[in-house]
Amino acid sequence: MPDILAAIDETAANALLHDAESALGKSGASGGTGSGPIVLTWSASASFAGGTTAFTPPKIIAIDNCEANYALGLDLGVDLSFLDFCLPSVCVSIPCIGEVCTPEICIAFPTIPVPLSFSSALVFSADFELDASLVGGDWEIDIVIVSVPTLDLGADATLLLEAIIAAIEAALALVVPFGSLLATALGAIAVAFGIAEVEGLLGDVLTALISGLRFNLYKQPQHFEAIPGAGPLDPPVFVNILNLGAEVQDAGKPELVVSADIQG
Amino acid sequence: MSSLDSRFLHVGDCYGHRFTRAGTIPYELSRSPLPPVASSRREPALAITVAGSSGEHPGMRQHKVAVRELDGALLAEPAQLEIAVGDAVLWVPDKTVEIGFCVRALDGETFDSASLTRNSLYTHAFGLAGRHRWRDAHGSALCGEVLVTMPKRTPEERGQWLEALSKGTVVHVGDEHATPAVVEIMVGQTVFWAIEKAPGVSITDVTLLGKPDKPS
Repeated sequence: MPDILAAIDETAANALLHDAESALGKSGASGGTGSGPIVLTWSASASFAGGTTAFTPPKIIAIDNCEANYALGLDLGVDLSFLDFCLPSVCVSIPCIGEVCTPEICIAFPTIPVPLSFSSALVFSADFELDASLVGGDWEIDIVIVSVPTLDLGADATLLLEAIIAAIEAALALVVPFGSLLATALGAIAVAFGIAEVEGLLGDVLTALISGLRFNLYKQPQHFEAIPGAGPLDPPVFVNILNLGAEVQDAGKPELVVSADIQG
Repeated sequence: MSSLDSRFLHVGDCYGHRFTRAGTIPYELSRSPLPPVASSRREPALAITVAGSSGEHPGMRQHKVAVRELDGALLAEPAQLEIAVGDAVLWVPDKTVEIGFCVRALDGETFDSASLTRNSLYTHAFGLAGRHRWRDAHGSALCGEVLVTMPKRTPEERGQWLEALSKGTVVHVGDEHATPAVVEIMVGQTVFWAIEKAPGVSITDVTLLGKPDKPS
């Protein structure tokens, strides 16, 4: 039998969760990928808000409808060397002058940088597992995401793809002289970087942001003053938490139960 | 490619002149479409030397002068060129040229790409589809139109397009008339304006001129 037992219901857990989301602030991640003529590096950050908890004994706290607000910074490099081409020499015969030929004109295209920012919000639900541990002199009760849920990225991917294409098109218009080449370039880019690639990119970004997501519900120093002193003859009482456990129990109504063994 | 304007040559443009008299003609590459005042002229480093005085030889030869830009300065290669009477010289800007220029004889009369006269030639490769109306920026009635179409994306039509790129279209300019006044080409094709008789004209896209287009 533990020395101390405390329990909260799902409503109280919701409040703890929302405090934990605020305390977490922003989490960040970065990475890179490439497809066809596009090389891409990204950095992203996300904050979390809302959601409701549901307890499943003995270790699972499910969070439904948690909102992830994420901001994505993309640095795309579009290698246009596949467009390199030469206008051939053109010869015509002109009265009074004779045959005149223009020389071959070759045009080499650079790699163009295309910076882009994108932000959106995503609602997800996932199972979290209770984790009580001693970290640097503090006992902490966290919930840690069990696995990255399936995310519906379709709408965001469509918006992001539109933003990417618009940004690339604007950048290309500055360096690609021929309308037909512009169409060729955009066609090639669309083949190499379509909705599937953008969904993959967003999947990577959000997986990096959500994977290992951990909310701290409770934190308590292992050694703390339980009762303050009342004078020289009545010193403070310190408590040492030897062990702390957390689990979901269902005694008619599911509760998150925290148990502690202490030493006075 | 660049805008259609013989006064400011860019990559995709060429300016040519056929030399019919012997002599040495110093010239300049200038970013101003107006001739310099005499006092501002520097020692000429560029010149065309036309050898021979016994009339034109039967076979006209074409010579190329490549123009590039280095640290903001325009360079002609070769800077000095020796040719025979009757030969033509074609000035060809490369992609390093960011700000257009004109080629102008310092004698003020032999040739000037900003003010085209007899025996001159201006070529322009069209990079954008659309209706390109042009006229003389110097105010004559000379004008015309180039309709530029986009090739289809089918492999067959792409092949036809690539083949067509090596075919040029000639517009003859005489007095204040262009013949034909309207030509139709595909994107990437080149139009040659052959100046057979003109007092000094330009081939300039009307959108570059502030005044409204004259009805043709």
